[in-house]
Amino acid sequence: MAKYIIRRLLEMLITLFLIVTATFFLLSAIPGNALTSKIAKLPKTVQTKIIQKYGYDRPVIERYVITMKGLIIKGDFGESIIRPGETFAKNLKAKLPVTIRLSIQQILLGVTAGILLGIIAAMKRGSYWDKLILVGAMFLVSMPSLVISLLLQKYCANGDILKLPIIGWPKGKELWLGGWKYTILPTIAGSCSFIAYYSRLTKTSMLESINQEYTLTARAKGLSEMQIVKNHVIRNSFIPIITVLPSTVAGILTGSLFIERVFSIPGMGRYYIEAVQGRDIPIVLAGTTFYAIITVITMLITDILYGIVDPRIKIGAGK
Amino acid sequence: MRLKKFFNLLLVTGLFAASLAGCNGSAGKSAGGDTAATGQTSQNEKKGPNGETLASEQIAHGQQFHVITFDTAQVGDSESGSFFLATCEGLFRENHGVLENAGCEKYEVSEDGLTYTFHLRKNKWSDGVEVVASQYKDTIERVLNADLACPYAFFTFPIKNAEKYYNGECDFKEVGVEAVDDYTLKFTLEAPEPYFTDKLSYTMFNPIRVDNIEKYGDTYGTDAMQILSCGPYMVQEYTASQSTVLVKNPEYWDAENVYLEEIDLQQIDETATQFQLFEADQLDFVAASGDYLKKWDQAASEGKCQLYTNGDVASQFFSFNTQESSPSGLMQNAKVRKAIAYTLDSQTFIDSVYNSRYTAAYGLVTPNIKVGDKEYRTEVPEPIKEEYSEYANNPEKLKALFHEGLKELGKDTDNLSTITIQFLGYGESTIEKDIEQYVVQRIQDNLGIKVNLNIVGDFGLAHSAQVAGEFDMCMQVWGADYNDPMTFIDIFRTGGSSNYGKYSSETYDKLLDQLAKEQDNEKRLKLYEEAETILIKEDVAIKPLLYRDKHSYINNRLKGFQYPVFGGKYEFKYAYIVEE
Repeated sequence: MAKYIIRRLLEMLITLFLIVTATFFLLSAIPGNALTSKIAKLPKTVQTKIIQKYGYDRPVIERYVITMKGLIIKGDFGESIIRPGETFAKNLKAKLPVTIRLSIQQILLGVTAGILLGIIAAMKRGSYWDKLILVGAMFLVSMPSLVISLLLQKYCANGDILKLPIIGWPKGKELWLGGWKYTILPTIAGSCSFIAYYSRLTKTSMLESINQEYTLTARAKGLSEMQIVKNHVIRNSFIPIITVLPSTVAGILTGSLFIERVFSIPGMGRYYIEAVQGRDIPIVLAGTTFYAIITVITMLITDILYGIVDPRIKIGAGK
Repeated sequence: MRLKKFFNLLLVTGLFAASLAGCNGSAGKSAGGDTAATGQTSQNEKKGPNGETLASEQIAHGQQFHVITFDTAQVGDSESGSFFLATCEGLFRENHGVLENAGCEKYEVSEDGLTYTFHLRKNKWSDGVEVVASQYKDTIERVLNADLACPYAFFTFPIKNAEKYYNGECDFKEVGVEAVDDYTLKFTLEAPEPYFTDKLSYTMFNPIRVDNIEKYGDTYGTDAMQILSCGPYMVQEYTASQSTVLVKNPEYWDAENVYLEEIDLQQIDETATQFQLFEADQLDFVAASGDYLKKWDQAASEGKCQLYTNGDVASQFFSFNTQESSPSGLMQNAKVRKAIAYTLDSQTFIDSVYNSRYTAAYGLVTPNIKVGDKEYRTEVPEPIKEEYSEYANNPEKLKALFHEGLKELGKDTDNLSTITIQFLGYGESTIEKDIEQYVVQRIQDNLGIKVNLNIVGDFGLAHSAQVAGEFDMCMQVWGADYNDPMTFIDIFRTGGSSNYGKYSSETYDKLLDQLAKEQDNEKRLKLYEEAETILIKEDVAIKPLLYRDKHSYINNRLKGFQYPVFGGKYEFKYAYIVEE
């Protein structure tokens, strides 16, 4: 197992190197750079000075070598070109806690509610409850989070029903615990898609278990319905759910762009998109690497989890 | 077993989450539009500048400025400019379009227009240090430090030897700026520049504190909390891309005429959210475009809020590639360009695609731009308004002109549909695409030639294509940098960096040189008129489309708030909140 993980970690390093290199050259290949809009209006003498200052007068290969050198020596990709003095690490420190709290709340609410609804739908299959949950899930899955956010904002923040804050996010001492009223609407808006996804996944997976022979055996043994569901059905139908959970976490950490925009939450999503649009190479490279690391680690965890929940899969066994 | 635990955990967390959703925890002053009363002040008795009853709470709520840099030398955008309008005092300040003495009490200009002497007002920085002339001089030295590559360094080039020093050809002692004593500042220019004071009102010329800059070293300019203030407000709290709190600066020389005690700024990117907040009285001003415009123009006309138009001095036009190397190889001929330009009437254009918003343009220089104290556009008629009407809706006449041009090139053909021109558009939204499609249709219908439309949604891509001349005609927008027609006319000087069509005319360049020396405003008006006519009517280097403007809405309780024309987006100094 340990050997397997070490091998995977080494592979990760190579993957990350390739991703950084590819991102760098792809960004350099597109016409224009972070300076373009900043200097477009200026006289040529000043343009030249600014281009020199940021080293854009040098060949791409040289810039690549400088970037990689900086990465190895200093461990970062350098300062933002658009906002001098800003680094990705500095922003990560400020913005990641916001995204993490939002993500945790969304996952807790979305996944829990989704699984519970899925269980209800499976147990009462064919009933009105089942149909209601099915239609509800379809509805939530097809509605963009932007629309949900705006509706919640209109009726629950600015409306007559509830008077929750329209925008904002707790900061300072309340960053992790506190200022709950600011987090309610964004949490609900972001959890909708999870409720929809996990309720359907749970239901399908449970229906599969219900039709298995071991369930039939349990029933034949004369176990109560509750015992059957709790000990046999749910247990077996959790395998697919546990294995998709890590990718849900990874996905949500990249930030919920629309929700952050609508509720003015200073999280990661907004920041990364701005950097990409502005061709802010140091920030884009750092961001891409960061998300790549999360993705690669998630894949590793998923593989390990497979082995744990399903003993038939042997991790790192033989070639 | 493990799974059982997991299931139980899930139930517990589910309950926890459910309790969270129902919980309505209290938050202190964390975010959002908390309007907790901040204690009683004696403001009640104080009257506004026009005798209005002032609200007891003088707090304005606005949108966070997208500040790029907190280093005045590096400022080149109106968002950072807004921050410094609030926190800094330069020599001048714009009040309702008029430049007023601010950091200077009075000034004199020598007969020859070469020497400017400013007598500074007694003002203090927020740490109590006096604002003195040498701090203005330090600014010039810093801006001209080529290693810092300040974007608007060229604004200082009219100062004697400034450009030479910038290029490392002389010593700073030779640059025409002098702190005669603590309160007298003297500039000597290379050549007279009648709009020099307009440039001096720009953020970059604000005084600086070298001791403060040295204190922060390389990190200077990255955090609002580093800034010392010598303007109406100072920074109390700043969280990047989230919120800023500005409070009244008690050390400011004109503090008694500053009414707002506090300005709360929040970052709100989404337009829909901005209007939700505006409707809920949690945001005091907001700018609109698209669908919101109609609704809020209506609301303003019903007295629900105040409409503010202005704040955007920008001209939109097509640039023609005037080189033989243009994709079609036809654009070097002025008649060809004119025939294409005149297929499109600016008025019909804005009526059809913009629902009559904006002002149709038949010239380059926008309204609001002044020569001396006269508005240029009211003094000088637009060059092509009359001539255009001869060609309006007359495809035969347009085609004849086009053929004439082709003949001069030796490329005349009976079948115009074999000709294709490249139109480089720029824009991400559907409205921009509609606009460009409309233009294509007009040209094709009137001339019978083909137009190949290439819309680029990314500024970097569009700019590279423009610089490379990969177009026969392209869409261009130019916002004025200072209050003189030169800010527009200068674009098309031979070799200018934004002269994408590579227009080059000896007569035009000579007029620009003449203008650089001329001080008499009447003569300058005539020279500008001549230059604009050559550019648009004779040489048809561009086809004017429209003059932009902005519609913004202000809460009825907020008065005196302004959207300045230059320098920054918002001006808070004169703002106050009335009792409703």
